[in-house]
Amino acid sequence: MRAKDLMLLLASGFGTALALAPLILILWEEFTIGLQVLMEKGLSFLTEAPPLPGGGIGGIGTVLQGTLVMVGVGSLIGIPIGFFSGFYMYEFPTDRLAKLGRSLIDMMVEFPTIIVGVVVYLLLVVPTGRLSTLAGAFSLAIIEIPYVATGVLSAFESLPKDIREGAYALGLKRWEVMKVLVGAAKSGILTSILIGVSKIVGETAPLLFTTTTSFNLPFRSLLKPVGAIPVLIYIYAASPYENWHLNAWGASLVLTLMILALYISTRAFARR
Amino acid sequence: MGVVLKVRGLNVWMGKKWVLKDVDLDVYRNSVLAIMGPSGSGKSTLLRVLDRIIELDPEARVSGTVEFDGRSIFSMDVHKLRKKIGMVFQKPNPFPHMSIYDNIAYGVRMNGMAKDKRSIDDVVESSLKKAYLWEEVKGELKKKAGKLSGGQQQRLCIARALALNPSILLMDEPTSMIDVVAARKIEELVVNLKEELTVIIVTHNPLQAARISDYVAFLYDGRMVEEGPTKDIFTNPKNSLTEKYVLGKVV
Ligand SMILES: Nc1ncnc2c1ncn2[C@@H]1O[C@H](COP(=O)(O)OP(=O)(O)OP(=O)(O)O)[C@@H](O)[C@H]1O
Ligand SMILES: [Mg+2]
Repeated sequence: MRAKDLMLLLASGFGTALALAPLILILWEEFTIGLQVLMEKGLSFLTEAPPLPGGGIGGIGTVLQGTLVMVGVGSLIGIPIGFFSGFYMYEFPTDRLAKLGRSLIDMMVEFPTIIVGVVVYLLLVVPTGRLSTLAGAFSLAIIEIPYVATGVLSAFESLPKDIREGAYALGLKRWEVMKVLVGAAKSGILTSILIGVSKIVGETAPLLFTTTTSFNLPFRSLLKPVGAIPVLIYIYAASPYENWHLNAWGASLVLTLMILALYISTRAFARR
Repeated sequence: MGVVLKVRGLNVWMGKKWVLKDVDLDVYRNSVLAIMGPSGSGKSTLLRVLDRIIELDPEARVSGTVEFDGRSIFSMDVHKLRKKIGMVFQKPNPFPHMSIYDNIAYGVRMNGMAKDKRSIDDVVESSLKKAYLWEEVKGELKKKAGKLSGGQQQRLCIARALALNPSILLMDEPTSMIDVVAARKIEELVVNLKEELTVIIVTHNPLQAARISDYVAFLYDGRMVEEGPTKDIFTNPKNSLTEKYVLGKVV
């Protein structure tokens, strides 16, 4: 019995190590090289434009703008829609639309994001004849909605049913009851919003179809395209230029730190 | 003493299950009515019809008439009805994230009963006093309701309902999940409340019913088997089931 326990322990330990190894290797590489890049460039890495092939390391100023604007605008669209669909599915569980939503939403989370890109491309880019920041933001919003909606739905559903009934029993109107429930489920709701945002910060595929790979263009308007950090990493890492590789490593580290910051705040909210 | 609630031919289905069967009931103003009956007999369902909370359950089908002060509750504005007929649940359900103060003030504000801080303060204080909770919490009204003990939470829920100045207070086994001392406080306040309103309380405890109620209604398998003054029911029950369940005697 003892020996078997030990074997099991060793085997599962080994398995875990094997599973974690690539992740740790990637993070190690990213941190060592990325950190060198950041140390060398300092804060100017966040403001300078990406370099030409064969030049210096440059920076990620333009694509950082692009990512912030597209994630921001995408969330401005995606969070309210996700929130209200979550509330709708909770408050009207027998409604046809809500039932359809409940069965679709899990599928939407699993939906390949590249297809979202293609769909937005066909709906927004082809008819208007141009790539745009808005099209990018829109595709991110579509990806964000199901995450926020499922999170909000389960945040409400984790509340005791009695709280909702107690609120209605005071003669409160639906809107007033919703305010009570939102307060009671606040940390769950904030958590799902942060999860939604983290999901889209690193999205690459849909942006390939909706916005530009001319990374040296700054953000000009919602109707004109702008680059994004993950797309830059994707293109630069696969290029033959050494300085682009270094730029991509620095960009990866910045992106990882952004997601890490979101993750830490998510955990902090979830714990409350 | 007039009849404040008049129930006639009330039938309730929850999905396919026939839960209340042709229930008739008169509730007298400024009295305490105890509803008794075995588990699953439909006591909670009956209370939930009276303030129309049952309508939150999409499975529920209700037929029959319920008159409150001579008007059908089903033709009244549901929000006004629920303000007039308060409900205290079996499991204490204050809004856990709100302060003691806000638990009471929220309903008062939303129902437009008081606007300025001064009069809301007054309502909070007087309802906490009526619910026998004021002395315990007066120094910490900002404390989160979720941090109170179960018995205190239940009294907060009573205060929250009383703050809306209801004519009827429905209580569904309000003392079954709290300790004996807190339960005694609630019994005492129920008796005092009679002066200003009518109380309908579901209880499994015959002694509690004997202590606080003026009338007893006995439900069995969805039917109203017997109802009458508490004294009569306890000394001279007409039905052997009443004897068994209300008096706790094994027949
Ligand atoms: N939402 C529902 N769906 C289906 N059946 C229900 C529902 N709510 C209640 N019932 C059924 O209705 C019957 C009466 O329930 P109710 O809760 O009114 O009983 P009760 O007398 O309050 O019992 P207890 O003393 O255990 O609280 C039970 O058989 C219960 O299973
Ligand atoms: Mg019950």
